[in-house]
Amino acid sequence: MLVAGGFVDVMQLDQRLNPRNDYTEWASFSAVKSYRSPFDPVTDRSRQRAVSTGPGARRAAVAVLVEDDPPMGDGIGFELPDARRSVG
Amino acid sequence: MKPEEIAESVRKRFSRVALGIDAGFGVWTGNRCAEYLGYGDVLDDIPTVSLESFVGVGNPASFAGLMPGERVLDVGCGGGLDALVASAHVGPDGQVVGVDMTPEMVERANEALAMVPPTNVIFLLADAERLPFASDTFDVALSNGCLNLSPRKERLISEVHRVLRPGGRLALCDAILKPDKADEVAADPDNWSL
Repeated sequence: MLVAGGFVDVMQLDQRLNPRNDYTEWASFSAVKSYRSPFDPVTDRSRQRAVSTGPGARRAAVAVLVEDDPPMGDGIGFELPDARRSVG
Repeated sequence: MKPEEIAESVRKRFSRVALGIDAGFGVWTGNRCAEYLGYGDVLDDIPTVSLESFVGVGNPASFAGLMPGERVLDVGCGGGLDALVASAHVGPDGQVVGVDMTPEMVERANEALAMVPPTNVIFLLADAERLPFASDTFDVALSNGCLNLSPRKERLISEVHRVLRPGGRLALCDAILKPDKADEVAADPDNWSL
């Protein structure tokens, strides 16, 4: 999941079929820019984990998303194998 | 595939939408798509030229918690629908900036603006991976079906992060690639823009 380090309180709010194709779904997310910025939201993995290990289920969701660490930039859309189970 | 090739494929497809040419989205653009996504009555105030260019995948302004006076960035604004919806929420003391990399989409957005000219909205041709704004500029960033189009997602999300103020909110609607489809789908540049 890309909304990872640098953002907290990531929440998935909606998910529905994409009527345009059969290989993606549509989803909606809200997130908040961390007050602990600035830091590189992509490359500073250790800091991402530090942010994401804070209390609360929503921050735990960030941890899952970061730990999954899907390759970014080489796929269409998000790859969120664990977002659905971890958010909400 | 090079990122530039993907970007050009995306730009071509969305320019076709803006020009009213079949772009392969079938019927899932414009009013039908907006209705599917629950926009409802807010569409009554949206100029047709903006609505017809809509290719969204969600309704970000509906859950962004927009407040009067806030500064909002719409990343990949297309024909301007979400920015125009947001402008009503933030009011005359707020500001909405929509950016898109497809010139024809920005033209549609500005045509819409000329029809229903809220004074708190501007549309700009800009690359979301190099946003022309100072850091910590916006209270809220909206994105509706934009990030999935980028082969350099980390760069785009870093830019959105940069221009948001600390505590600023991101309302993001986008596509999730089904894991079992990943490799075969990503290999075709046309798939990146659907």
